[in-house]
Amino acid sequence: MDTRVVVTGVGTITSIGLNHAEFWKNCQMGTIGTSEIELSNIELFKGKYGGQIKTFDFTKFHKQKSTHQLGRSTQLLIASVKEAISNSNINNDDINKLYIGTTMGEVAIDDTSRNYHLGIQNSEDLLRNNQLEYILNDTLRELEIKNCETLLLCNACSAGNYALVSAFECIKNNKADVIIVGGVDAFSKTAYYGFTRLGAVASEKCRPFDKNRDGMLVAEGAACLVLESEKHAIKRKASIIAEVVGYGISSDAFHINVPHPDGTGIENATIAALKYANINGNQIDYISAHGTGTIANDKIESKILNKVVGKVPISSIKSMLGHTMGAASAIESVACCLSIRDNIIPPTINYTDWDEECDVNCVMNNSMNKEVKYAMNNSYAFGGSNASIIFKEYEENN
Amino acid sequence: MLLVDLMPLLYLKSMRRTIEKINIIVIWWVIFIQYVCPHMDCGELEDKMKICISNIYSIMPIFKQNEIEDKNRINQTENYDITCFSSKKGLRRLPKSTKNAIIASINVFDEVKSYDTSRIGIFVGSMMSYIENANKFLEPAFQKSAKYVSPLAFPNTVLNNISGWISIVLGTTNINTTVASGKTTGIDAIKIACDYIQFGMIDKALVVMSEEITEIILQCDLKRSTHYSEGTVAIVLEKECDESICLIEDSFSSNVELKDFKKVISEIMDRTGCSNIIYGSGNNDDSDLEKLFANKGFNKDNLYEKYGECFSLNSFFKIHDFLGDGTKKDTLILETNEEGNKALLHLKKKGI
Repeated sequence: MDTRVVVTGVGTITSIGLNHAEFWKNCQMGTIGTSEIELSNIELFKGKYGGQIKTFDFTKFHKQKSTHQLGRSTQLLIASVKEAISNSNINNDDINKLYIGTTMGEVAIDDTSRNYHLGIQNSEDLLRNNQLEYILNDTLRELEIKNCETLLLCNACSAGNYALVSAFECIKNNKADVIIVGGVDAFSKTAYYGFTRLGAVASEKCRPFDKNRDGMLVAEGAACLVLESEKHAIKRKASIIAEVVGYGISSDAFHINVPHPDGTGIENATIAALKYANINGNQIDYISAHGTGTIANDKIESKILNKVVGKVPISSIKSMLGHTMGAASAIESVACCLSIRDNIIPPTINYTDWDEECDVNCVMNNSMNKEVKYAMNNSYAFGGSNASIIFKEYEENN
Repeated sequence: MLLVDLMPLLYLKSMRRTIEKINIIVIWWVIFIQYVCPHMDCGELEDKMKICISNIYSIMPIFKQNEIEDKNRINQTENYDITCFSSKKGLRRLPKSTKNAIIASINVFDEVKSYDTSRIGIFVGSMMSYIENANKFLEPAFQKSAKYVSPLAFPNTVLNNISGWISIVLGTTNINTTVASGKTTGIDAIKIACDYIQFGMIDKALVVMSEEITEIILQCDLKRSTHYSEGTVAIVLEKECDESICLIEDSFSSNVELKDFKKVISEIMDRTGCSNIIYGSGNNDDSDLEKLFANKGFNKDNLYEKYGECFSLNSFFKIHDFLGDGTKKDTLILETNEEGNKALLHLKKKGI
């Protein structure tokens, strides 16, 4: 009999909450986390809004042991891993692996490059932070987690989901009992410039699936989930939030930063996830959409979800947070788990006008009370990397 | 090996065909001279299918002095014309590390045309190349204005650009992912690829390491090596098959202390009788490990002395050299981050 994989803890650091409880409360209320970007040495364009976590003070989360200046991504990750461990009440010794996804990594390159071009000496700490392995190494050392296998998966905006899929299969195949998965990205000037020049940044608000949507907002954040074998969780009397029951991954093999116009990759991932979970589309109660707020993404995602899943309640919490890059799919996985736990669907805010090209059952502006047994989390990324994950309400005797 | 020595000369279609022929000869040579059925060993993979390396393709650096910085010796690859290998649009302006990765992938995976592309996974490692790509992208922002950064160059700054491009060029529709774990990136990518095959998620994995060495990358290397090599190595992994060049008998990677890593090494060496070690990560672990090798009487080969710092390529150059060495039946390949993961592979050639 296959090992069942459950979620026993979550942790989030976002612009609408510095822990998962605060995040979830604000998520249900439709709180806007995006604001005018405030960052040194940045050149702002017309679209000058982003999802920075302006109230994040690392010293309030963790008493640092290392003398190095930890990068912001590392700080965000440490805070979210710490919360997930605490929420799961798991011992550090029980943690077998740490699988984390990211898009840009540690964003030290924004400053390293500037200093390089302006002839300013880069500090050793800044250069150290360019070496991505330190994100996970420093996290383990700071949290005193030993003998742990680590993997930093760089799958852009679906990285968190890819980390979760890899960990899910490891546990299911009895290669591990406890794996912390998640995603992280600090605010990246490179991403802000790049997405702006691609014409993908919104003028002010992120409005997924709305007729007036004009783009995404670059943001930052981190989220982690403790994945555990059911047996291990029951043995230690852990509180189980949800179960992971299926996933689908695919590559578009089409374009490095444009989704396939027919949405074939997205469709393949969605169908594969349903097949893996052995359910029909109409059994899904909530879809946490990729929903970036760009013209192309929302149109194609709507088309495929209508075709494969039907008129299931759908929302994009990117409308509140902006696009947290590598953290996005992990944060949205947390939202799916909490939606199942509380039978509440968070809204897509900033929604005013229906768009015939996005004819989905969008949960508009206010959260919805609804029994959620199955929730699907979609993520699509640069490089054509797509991943859909299905969470289910945990039932002891499945 | 001929394969090794000829790789730097690869620059024309005609030469590509020559290399392919040599590549095939080498593979068949390895298979032909097998005489022992490999012992099914245990370890992490004990109750799972065996995974083998069924092909390898390397773009090796030319060993010469480079003018980037006098105090550093840098071995760089040729600048190949990627249009000789693929007619896909948008390839010509890609970074060197991406182009080399695509070229190596096309060559190592020729059969992709006739294989189910939904069953092939792409696993890429590149530790430092993103720094060069991001630096190039940002350059106009610091010289004039961010208004002048190129939207076409932006995707190069995203860490998974290489795996994304390989997937596009080969047309593979299963997982394409990128791994970053410092010096152990190569072994970690192999480990996760083996997992995906063993879990039945894919049939074959293309694992590619690619690095480019440039001035800003030298500045960002805190180890300040005096000797660097860039290049690309691509390998194909699959379930043990007739085309197997060598089997992956054991693999290990974890964030452990060196003393615990030594125990893992000793246990595998004692259990399997393997006495060959290829090591060299250019850090303090090397000298510490040498004491263990001396005590145990292992045959050791420090490839850091040959290639210098190669970042994610370190372990793949070791695999490359091992497969090209007709005298060794099996070996342990070691790679360590002084802080972080310490990893090993136990490779056994089929039958030598």
